[in-house]
Amino acid sequence: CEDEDEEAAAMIEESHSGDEAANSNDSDWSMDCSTVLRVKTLHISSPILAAKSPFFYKLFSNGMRESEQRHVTLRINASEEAALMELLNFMYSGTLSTTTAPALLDVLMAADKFEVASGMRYCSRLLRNL
Amino acid sequence: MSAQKKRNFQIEAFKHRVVVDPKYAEKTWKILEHAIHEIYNHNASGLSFEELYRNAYNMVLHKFGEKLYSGLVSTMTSHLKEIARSIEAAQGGLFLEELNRKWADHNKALQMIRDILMYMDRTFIPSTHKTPVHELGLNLWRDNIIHSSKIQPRLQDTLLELVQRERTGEVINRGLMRNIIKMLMDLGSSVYQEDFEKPFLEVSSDFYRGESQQFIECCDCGDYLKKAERRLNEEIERVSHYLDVKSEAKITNVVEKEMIESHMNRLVHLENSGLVNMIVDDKYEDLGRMYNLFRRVSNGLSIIRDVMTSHIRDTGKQLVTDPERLKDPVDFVQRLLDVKDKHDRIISLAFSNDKTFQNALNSSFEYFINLNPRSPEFISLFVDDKLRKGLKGVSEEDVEIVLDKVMMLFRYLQEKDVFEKYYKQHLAKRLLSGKTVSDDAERSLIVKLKTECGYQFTSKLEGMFTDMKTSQDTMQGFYSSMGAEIGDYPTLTVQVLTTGSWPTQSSATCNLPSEILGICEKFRTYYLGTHTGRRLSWQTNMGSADLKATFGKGQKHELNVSTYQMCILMLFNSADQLSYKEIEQATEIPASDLKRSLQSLACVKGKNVLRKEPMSKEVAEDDAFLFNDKFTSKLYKVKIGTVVAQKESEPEKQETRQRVEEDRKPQIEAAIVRIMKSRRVLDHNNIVAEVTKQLQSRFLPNPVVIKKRIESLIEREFLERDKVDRKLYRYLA
Repeated sequence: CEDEDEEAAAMIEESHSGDEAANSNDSDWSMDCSTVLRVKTLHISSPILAAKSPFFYKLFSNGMRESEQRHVTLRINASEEAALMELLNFMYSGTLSTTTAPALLDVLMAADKFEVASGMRYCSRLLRNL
Repeated sequence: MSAQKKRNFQIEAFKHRVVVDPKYAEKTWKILEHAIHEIYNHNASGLSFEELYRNAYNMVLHKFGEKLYSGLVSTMTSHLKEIARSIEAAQGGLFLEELNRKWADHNKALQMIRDILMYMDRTFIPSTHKTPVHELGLNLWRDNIIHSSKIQPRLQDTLLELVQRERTGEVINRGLMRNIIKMLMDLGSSVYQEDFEKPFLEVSSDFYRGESQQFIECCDCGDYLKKAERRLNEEIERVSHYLDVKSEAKITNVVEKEMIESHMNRLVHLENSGLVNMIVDDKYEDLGRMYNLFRRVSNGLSIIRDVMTSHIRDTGKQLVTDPERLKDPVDFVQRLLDVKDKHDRIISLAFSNDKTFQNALNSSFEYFINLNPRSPEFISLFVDDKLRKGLKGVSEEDVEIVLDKVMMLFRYLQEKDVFEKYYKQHLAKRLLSGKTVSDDAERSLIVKLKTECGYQFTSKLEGMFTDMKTSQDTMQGFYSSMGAEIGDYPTLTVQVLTTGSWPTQSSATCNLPSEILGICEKFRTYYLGTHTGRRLSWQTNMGSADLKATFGKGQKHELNVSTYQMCILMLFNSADQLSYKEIEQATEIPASDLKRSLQSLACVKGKNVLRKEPMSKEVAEDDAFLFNDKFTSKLYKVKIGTVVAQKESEPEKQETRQRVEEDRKPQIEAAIVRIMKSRRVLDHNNIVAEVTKQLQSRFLPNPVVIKKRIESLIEREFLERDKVDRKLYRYLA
């Protein structure tokens, strides 16, 4: 990922113990009691993310705890990691590096979760044209 | 292979569908519920947006949307019930403040709740056709707060009472008012209308009904209008400060109906201060206010217009039929112009130049000016007066203004041909006596008449000007060809007038004194010598003369007199005393002219070059006249006017009338022939209608006269009656 000098925010990626969500380690999908697998810190540009996604816009501005923080944490499932990285990349560049259907589907899920409308459209189009 | 792959994603797509533990959902909801409590308790800044969003997302994703939504409804409802209790508990004036504060809090909370539930708002709600979070928040506020039985009536009363207090002059917190009204509007236009606007309009209607009743009993019209205008502006201002813009039309409608429409008839006719009084006193401001207020209600303007019209008609009718006014034609016309000016000013200053008002004014003038058959004569006399003396030292523009005003009156006349008759007579007198002040003004008026009525109307008038110019040249030619030959004769100036162009006067020629017969004869010979085939006859009733006279103590005077007066005075060169009869015999001046001439020679103080026995104002047939050698005057030149009744005497009037009727005959006939030539066959009523239409720019033909003309045309075989239908006429080529 490129690091933007402007206002950098750190994103720490965590994942719970179960390695694959698909295999559904039934016990818990809320992560409060799950284990953090790893933490990844990225420098991002909040205006770019906010412009592409209402989720990020609110995250940075709606008056809750994150609005005041320089380091903002997103907790995600391990299975979402690759897709989120792709999505973040897409929000900067407008292109995706993955072309396989399962990977695109994961990106689409992530785009839907964070309401990146352009990403949703982009993935859907690629999937339809496969 | 691709089919294989497709099946692959379908399988992968389901990997997110997790079998879920219901306890787990409950736990997640607790987190969100707690967050909603914290938000309402102003502790939102300690909450993690990311965590809450993620939890809400997971609930929806894992099919617990329903649980999330119903949880939201019940949590929010319980908060609102608590809020309702705190608002209900607020004392007196704090009620609105508390409501306003809680409303602001709720809005802020709602915004955050909506943020964390954004995913649900976007996916779950549309697919299940539920109410979106924001709208849900407003609906719950409406149902639990605004429509709570303890709040609803209190809110309405409080708002209406504040409006009422403001109407009675108190200062209220408009900002608070605006916020509360804005809240009602945010809750939906039906909430605003039902909970505020409708009762507001009803209360206002009652208030203004009462107030206007009270005002009309004790105020005069001007004050009432001022109050009504102020109330109207207040309501408009109120809307702009704290009501929905759409309410403006409704509340102004209430004021208009109660304060104007219900009372406008009474207002207009209010004794001593109503519309007529305002017009009479030129109350432009009050009139303007009345116009602007009445314009707002249907029929308002027509009431003003009708009252104004009947007032102008009455005033005008009184003016033109008042026998006192008939004594002075110039004053008569001046008064007409004053009436016109006055109302023009009112229409332009107070009635925003309303076309319908201008038309009403014009038609009123048309109505009353023609009530007096002498109007055409008087208007011509007015012009005569202005062009004789009234315009001296007046700038060209002002002359134009006066002439334009005269033209305006002229336009109102039905009998324009009568005006033409008089105008011709008066113009002739002005030209022949050299009394016209401004040739430019004369010509300017002719041009105006021409544009108004066409070439035909003025061609004869223009002929008169031509004659004057030609006569000047003729006189120059006469004197240069005669040279010294006529040195001993009196100076003679002759105006040669073309018959037909000039008003035909009964030209009873009088006997000219022998002293000037010689030069007259020389002129006749000269003129007929240069223009063969013409006939000359002297119009002794139109001329004037300058006489040198020596009186008792040897003082000399130059007397400016009419031709008739000259003839009389010349008789006294050979006699000191003459009887009326002797003068009449010697001069053969028509009796009426003779009497007038003698009267002005003997009965006017300061101009009495003759003495009459017995002394009296009137001339009788057995009077005797003596040369007044005691005559004195400070001036060397003495102008002896003729006692002319400026306007026509009764018999003269009859005569003019008759001539007008005579002149109309050929015009009516010409019109009938023109119409029949193109139509070939036409029934009686249609001919009358068409003839009237064709001639109305000049006069209003009498149907009886038209019928007579038709009969005459039938006699002369221009037309014939249809053999079958006797009402039908045919044109005979």
